[in-house]
Amino acid sequence: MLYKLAWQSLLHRRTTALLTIFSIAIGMMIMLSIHHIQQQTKQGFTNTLSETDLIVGARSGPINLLLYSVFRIGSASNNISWDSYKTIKRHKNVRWTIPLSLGDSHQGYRVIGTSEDYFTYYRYGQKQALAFAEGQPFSGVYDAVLGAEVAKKLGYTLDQKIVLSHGVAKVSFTHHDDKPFTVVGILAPTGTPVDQSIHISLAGMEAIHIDWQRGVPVAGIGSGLKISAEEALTKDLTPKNITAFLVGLDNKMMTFRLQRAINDYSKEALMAVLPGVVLSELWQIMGGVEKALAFIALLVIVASLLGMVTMMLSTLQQRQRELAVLRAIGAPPWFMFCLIQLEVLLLTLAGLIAGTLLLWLGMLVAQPIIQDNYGLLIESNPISYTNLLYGSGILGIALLMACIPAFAAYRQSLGQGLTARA
Amino acid sequence: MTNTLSINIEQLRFHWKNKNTSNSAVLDIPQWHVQQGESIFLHGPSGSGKSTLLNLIGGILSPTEGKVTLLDTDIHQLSSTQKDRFRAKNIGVIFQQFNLVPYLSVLDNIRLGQQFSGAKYDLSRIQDLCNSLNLTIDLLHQKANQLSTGQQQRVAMIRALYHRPPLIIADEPTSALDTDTRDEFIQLLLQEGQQNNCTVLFVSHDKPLATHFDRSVALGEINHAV
Ligand SMILES: Nc1ncnc2c1ncn2[C@@H]1O[C@H](COP(=O)(O)OP(=O)(O)OP(=O)(O)O)[C@@H](O)[C@H]1O
Ligand SMILES: [Mg+2]
Repeated sequence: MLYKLAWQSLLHRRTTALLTIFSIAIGMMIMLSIHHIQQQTKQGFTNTLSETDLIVGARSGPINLLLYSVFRIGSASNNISWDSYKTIKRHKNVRWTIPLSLGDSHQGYRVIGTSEDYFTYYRYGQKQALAFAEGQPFSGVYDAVLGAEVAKKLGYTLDQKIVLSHGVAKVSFTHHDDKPFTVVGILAPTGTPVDQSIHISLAGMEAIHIDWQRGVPVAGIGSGLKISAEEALTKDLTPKNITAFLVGLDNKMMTFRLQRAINDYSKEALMAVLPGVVLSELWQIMGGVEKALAFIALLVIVASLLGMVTMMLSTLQQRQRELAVLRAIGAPPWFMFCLIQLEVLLLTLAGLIAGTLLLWLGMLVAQPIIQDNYGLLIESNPISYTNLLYGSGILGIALLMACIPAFAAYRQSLGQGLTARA
Repeated sequence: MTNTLSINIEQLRFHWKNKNTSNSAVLDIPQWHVQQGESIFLHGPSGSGKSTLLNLIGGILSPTEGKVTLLDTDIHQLSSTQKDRFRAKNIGVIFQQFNLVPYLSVLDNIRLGQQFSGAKYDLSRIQDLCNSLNLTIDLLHQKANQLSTGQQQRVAMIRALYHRPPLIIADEPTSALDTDTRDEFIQLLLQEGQQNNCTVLFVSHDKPLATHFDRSVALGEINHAV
């Protein structure tokens, strides 16, 4: 009966009730989304790289190096020379390396110049290797291997001819249209930035820039200095430099020693970082922002809960008659207390559920956007153990705050005579 | 059984605690009793303390001094929860207006009273009461606030009568009704009361209504407070 009373009472005031639910839902959504997105991106980032012991690039910020080499975010300020790369590759503790040469794109998707070792040694998630959905690794200079999303979004299949563009902006005005590439392989989806990448050989990367210097074509269109695709094949296509490379070691114990050796490398300013260490640095930076956002979200929730409590308190005035009726037919004062508490419980619960559903919908919308921009596949279902914990915490706060109007109802009905004073 | 006392008031004094202006009592009733099954018409000028007396009898207010005994129970010896339970079980309450929880259906309003009183649910009894009070059965599923005032008062009567309480107290239940509806209401109330051997304590300042009742009492006669 108490439940029916609470439910009918809320139905009776459905506009106010809906608004209250809505404001709680928004608070809840913000709170959960901050937590959820942060958790999912963390997981996404962590899942992107596995088994790589060191990332080596030109000396700059460690986070910057990690972001551009692995997550295709931002760009390198400097390259490293092919000689340095070869020297480190030959180091006795190094089991494998994956060279990365960045800077070009196709329809906004980044192009990576690399070696066949990429397909052999790259690991993501739980030590998973890359798999081919179709075709095979590149072998020719003008061969390309597409990430799963690239092929899907652009509708490309094997043997498709693609023209790469200079630079990594979405819209590029300089195209390497004299040297088109052929799709020879398409990778299976990984849920990492690999899906958003186009892979070509280092020789291919060298070939399209052979008549370029310092990022611009050496000669204008139609000038005799242009080198055709066929002509380029006859030249020496050994790269002069690369952007970064990943290193796998025989023995993990050697990681720090090799890192120090690379950092002290005399011929060039190099930097080696441990991906795990840099990621935790990144989380530390994000942690502050995250805490600030979570605090704001908490304030939003508390504000909406306060709104609800105020609403409850102010409707008590209108509900005086109703309380008098209940009192007259023998409802004890604690019955009113429970009635108010139950109404708050229902409102908050509805708000929490609505907020979660809103977030879910929001995540369904945001999922492809995040994947397009960061290559991270995030889970759209926000229901997790921690979020349930948050939900019950909020419920607890709501019930605690509801004691104010509930106790007011209790007091009011105690002092309430059998006649409703209108 | 006929000379059982329904209401027995002894040396009752009451004054509002929060009234700092006057310390004088609103009520000072040395002695008053009502036999079981009597119908009493209690009248008196506005502000004389009629509602206050009903609240004392209903166990909502506690007397400053003295005793209120209902059916051999000194109600102010009971704990507040016991008082609430006693009221639910033994007293049917009807008041001026707004007797019902507006957002509940008529049936739910009646059931609410039934549940607090601890009586069994019996739809046929509700239907019987509806019939004798000229309420159509399909009104039962309407929301209480969609009923006319007269209909609402009759629903309140059904709720008050349903569990056959030995005492019904009514505080100006007819003041919002027109003359015809009012007379019909009082007739029905007294008739149902008689059938259930129920004491009816009816408060109003509309003196002509007194003719319907066994006994008419002016509050001034029993109340010695100035
Ligand atoms: N909650 C209250 N707190 C303080 N004083 C009150 C309260 N309720 C009533 N009174 C005072 O008690 C006195 C009696 O009031 P009561 O309501 O019992 O009169 P009444 O006879 O029922 O009047 P009416 O015929 O207008 O309903 C009045 O002087 C009134 O001001
Ligand atoms: Mg009164």
